[in-house]
Amino acid sequence: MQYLSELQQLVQRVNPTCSPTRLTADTPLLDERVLDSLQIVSMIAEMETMFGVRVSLEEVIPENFESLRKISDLIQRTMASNRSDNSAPG
Amino acid sequence: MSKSTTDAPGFNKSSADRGLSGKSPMVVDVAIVGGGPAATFTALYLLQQGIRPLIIEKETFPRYHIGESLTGEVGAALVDVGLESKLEASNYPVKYGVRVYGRGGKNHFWVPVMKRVRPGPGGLAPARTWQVRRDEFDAMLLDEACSRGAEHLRGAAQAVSREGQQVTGLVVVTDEGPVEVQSKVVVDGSGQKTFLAQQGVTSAKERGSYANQVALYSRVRGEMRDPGIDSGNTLIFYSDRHRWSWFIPISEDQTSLGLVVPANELADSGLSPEAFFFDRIGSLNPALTSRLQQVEYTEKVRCSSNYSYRIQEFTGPGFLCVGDSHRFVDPIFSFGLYFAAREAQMAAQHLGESLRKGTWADANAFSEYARQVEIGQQVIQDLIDFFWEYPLAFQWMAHKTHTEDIADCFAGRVYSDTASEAILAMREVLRKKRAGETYQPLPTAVGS
Repeated sequence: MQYLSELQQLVQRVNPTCSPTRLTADTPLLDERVLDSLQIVSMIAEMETMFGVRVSLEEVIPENFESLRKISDLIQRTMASNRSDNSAPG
Repeated sequence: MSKSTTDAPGFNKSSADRGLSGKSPMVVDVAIVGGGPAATFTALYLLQQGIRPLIIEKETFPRYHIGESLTGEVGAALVDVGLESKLEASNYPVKYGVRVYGRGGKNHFWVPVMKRVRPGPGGLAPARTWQVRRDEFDAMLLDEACSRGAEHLRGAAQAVSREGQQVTGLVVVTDEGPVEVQSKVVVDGSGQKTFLAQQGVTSAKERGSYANQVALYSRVRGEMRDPGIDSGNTLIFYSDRHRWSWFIPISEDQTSLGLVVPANELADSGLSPEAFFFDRIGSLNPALTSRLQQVEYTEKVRCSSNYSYRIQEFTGPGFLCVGDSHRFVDPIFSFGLYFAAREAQMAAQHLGESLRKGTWADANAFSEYARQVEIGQQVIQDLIDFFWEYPLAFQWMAHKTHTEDIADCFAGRVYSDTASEAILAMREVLRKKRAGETYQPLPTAVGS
């Protein structure tokens, strides 16, 4: 998956008790309580800066933050949709 | 009757001379059904214009009522009607904001009470409001309205009189027999009794989005509050969608505690409402459980169901509805008293104008009032719908992207003709989610 090491570090930044190398692409971040909702909110903000994207509101749902793979998918999807928004006429 | 009507400019002489047992009708400009805050705020605002209304309420106040929390802007309404000093002098707990605990109790977000000191970004300043004991608060409002010149007829409004579509008065049942009231305008401030809807005067009552919910509630002593100045804040705890609890400190040692869940869960449990309440309140959210370790219940457990509804046509010739008498949304963010106070203010303004211009019997006499009121109700409906559909995105907006817009909503600054960016964004997401369902657009301005 893309951005694994970036996302491992990002998770550690919002939850300093978490060791980044412990996280695999499919570690269940919510079920194992690696991230709570406040930390997700902080992470979205960092993610937006780091990847230069704007996550749309309907994407801010727990399902998109269940694992690093899901977050990576979200970033790629958001990049694509931001690009098409920017190139849309008008 | 708690006040003599003699020389009251709002009353016809024939009513002033008439005793309750007399047969001649009471003739008034404005008859208000109900004695709760929607009714009494309307009365207080009318009195400011020199209009002395008749308040029809059969219950003896004080009486038990939930809905104890004020938003920031109710404070402004209390200032408006000259009651701020009474609130300041009372020992009601001071509320600085609302803390909402999410599922599992680990996370929470905070929306402070903020006043707007100037428009635009950065224009908010910390403020405060109160939690009130509704028995005392509602009695205080009624007493105040009567001492300023409103008349209280102790009785139950039973029927409306009409000439065509126009409402021209009421029949009120009192201990001394029926009393006929002739009015230019009937104001429905009857709350969830929705008097005018029951009479078939308004359009039919439609079930709201939260109609299948049930609320169970009581009061406790010995609960754990937040420390220091935060001890009076509202706490909300939720678990899964549409399952939540309120924790509203109402005095130094008592807190109103409520539980709201889908009604079928109570029915399916096979438990009494009381047993169900104790069972669920203890397990809803760990952050709440830990605050209830040492509590003693000081009130019986009460239960209200089927409480979300909307009436679309709630004004017309000779009548209008204020507050819960036309719409009731999920009460999670404590807008009940605010809607009552603010709609009363707008109603009184339109009532005064219609009496001065003689337009109270026009078909659209109060349609501009209705339009304004629906703007605010719809903002709150959308805010709450979005909160339940997208709790994480709501938290994201409240904390990061639209902090001020959300603080404005929570305070009650919801009547602008143009919705805030946050509300527009929420509506867009809800609209997409409901694509295929019918989305209710806002009513458009009359004549626009």
